Amino acid sequence: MATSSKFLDWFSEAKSRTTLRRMEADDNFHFIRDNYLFEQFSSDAIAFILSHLIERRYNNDDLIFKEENPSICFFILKQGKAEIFVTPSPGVKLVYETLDPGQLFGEVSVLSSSSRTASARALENDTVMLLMSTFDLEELCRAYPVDGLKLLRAIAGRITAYLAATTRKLRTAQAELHELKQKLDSHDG
Amino acid sequence: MTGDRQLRNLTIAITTGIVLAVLSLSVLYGARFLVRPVLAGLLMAHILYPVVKLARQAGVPKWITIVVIFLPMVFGCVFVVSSLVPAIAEEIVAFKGSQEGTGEEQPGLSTEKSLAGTVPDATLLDNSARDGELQVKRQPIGSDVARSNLIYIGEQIYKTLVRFGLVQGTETHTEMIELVTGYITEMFTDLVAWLGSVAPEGGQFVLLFFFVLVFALLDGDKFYKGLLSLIPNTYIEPGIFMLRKTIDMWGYYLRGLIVENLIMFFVSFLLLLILKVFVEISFIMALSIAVIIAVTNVVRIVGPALGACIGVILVLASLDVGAVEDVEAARRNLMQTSFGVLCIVAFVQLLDSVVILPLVMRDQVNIHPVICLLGIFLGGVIGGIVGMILAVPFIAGAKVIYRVLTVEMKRFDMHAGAVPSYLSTDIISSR
Repeated sequence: MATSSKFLDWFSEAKSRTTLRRMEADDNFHFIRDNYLFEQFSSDAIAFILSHLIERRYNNDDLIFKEENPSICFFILKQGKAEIFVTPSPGVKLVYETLDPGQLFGEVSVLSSSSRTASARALENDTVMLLMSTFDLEELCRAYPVDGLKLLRAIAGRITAYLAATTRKLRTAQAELHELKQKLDSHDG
Repeated sequence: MTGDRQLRNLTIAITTGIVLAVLSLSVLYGARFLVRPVLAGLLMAHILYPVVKLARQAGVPKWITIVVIFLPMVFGCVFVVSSLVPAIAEEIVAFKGSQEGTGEEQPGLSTEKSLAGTVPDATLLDNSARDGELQVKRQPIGSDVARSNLIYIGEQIYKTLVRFGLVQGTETHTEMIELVTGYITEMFTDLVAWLGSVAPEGGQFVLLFFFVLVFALLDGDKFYKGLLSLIPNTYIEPGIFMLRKTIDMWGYYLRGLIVENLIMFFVSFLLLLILKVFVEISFIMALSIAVIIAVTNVVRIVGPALGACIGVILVLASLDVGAVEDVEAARRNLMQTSFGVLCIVAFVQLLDSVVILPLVMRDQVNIHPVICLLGIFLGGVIGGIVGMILAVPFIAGAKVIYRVLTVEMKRFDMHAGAVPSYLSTDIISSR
């Protein structure tokens, strides 16, 4: 028993060393390991993510995804700048967010399997994105459930932060509206 | 004018399509010796890749999994080469001997084998003259043996039909039976001779097949990423969706096909073992027939009929009148066995259509019989028997791509339609 346990420990260590060596050869290793989304991920899960990430290079003004299209991938901005926007009417563009390297986007509709709620485009030449498809995300959750849960928690945390910010803005807007209404009433009176 | 232009564009598109299709087919036909093993290797890699992936997730390095997959395959090949090829060569020499009709001993053959070559058809039919004359332990599976047994069965059926007054007993019927059985046994002879002639080509096939399989299993991820790198940025999401859907659906189909045929094999084998209780059929024969039924079932529509024919011919060829004491009893057993094999093939086919296929394939690809037959014919022209077996999975792959393109991809708006940056911009960032 003791011999087999020792062998298993040795095998596990050797495997971790090999995985780490293989991962360090990957250009995206440090970028992914240092990203807040993948904090405390096991080395196997990081290796899985690295082997499934797809790197794409965009030029300035290139469309990354379009509003109302089905969502297949979420994106991590590795290099350059990008923006998230909507077009409520022809010729009008409302920019939701300008993204910097390391930020994740397009994840909400991927998780909810719904259509895109906004469009995204690159703002610089040589903007590099790392894509992960919904198929790979499902595979990650199946193969490494603990790490999958960590990732889902991180994404849920982001969504909650968005929701809190939006609620704050809505309350401020409501308060401003209420103030304006009172002013209007007193003015009429 | 617009109508004329549309018609012209359509004509150009159709003509280009036809020319491209003809060119692709001719290139495929020209390079069929290369295409067959490459396609077979890629197909096998596609089927086995999930095993490598699962093992890798469990911490087993890729190369170990590949070695584990390869060992049985290589041993299987060695076994086939060391046992089957000499047997086939032996049969071919025996055929040549029987066709020449000479009583001289063939080089490389024992006296026992030469005896089979000296027995003419007419002598084989005359049972009484040969009873107890020859004490042969093993005769090669020969066309003469199969033919004489077939003629016997044909005669029995014919006699029964005459007895019930369904046909009139004339000389023409007997000649016709002889003609048909002669034709069938000729085909069998050609098949065995063909197997012998393609042996060197088979060696090349196996080598290239293994080569492609190893690299496809080792670099499956790189191959997938390489395909993705060909897709422009605008179409990356639809591209990933199409590729993954196609790969997944095709994978389900192929694995379903394997499971279906494995079930077919076990059911046939079980039924043949039950048949063994009632008639004399060897264990190896039952196993061979079950394998044949399962393998030929991959080729839809024509496969089961082919499997039944080969199975019955194997049974017929297994009995040599020279090697038994009671020829009549042996031939009765032969008739019963052949009938039993036909019944098993029919039953297994029914079971496949009604139970196995709906259970295993469920929502998978249904291929129209006409498309299937055309594909099998085309596959046969391009790649021979291997092409016929590969045809159905590749038609399924094409159908999956068609379905994904015509149904699923409609959800994507493929036009870029970026908003020009000079238009009014209002930043309402939620942060």
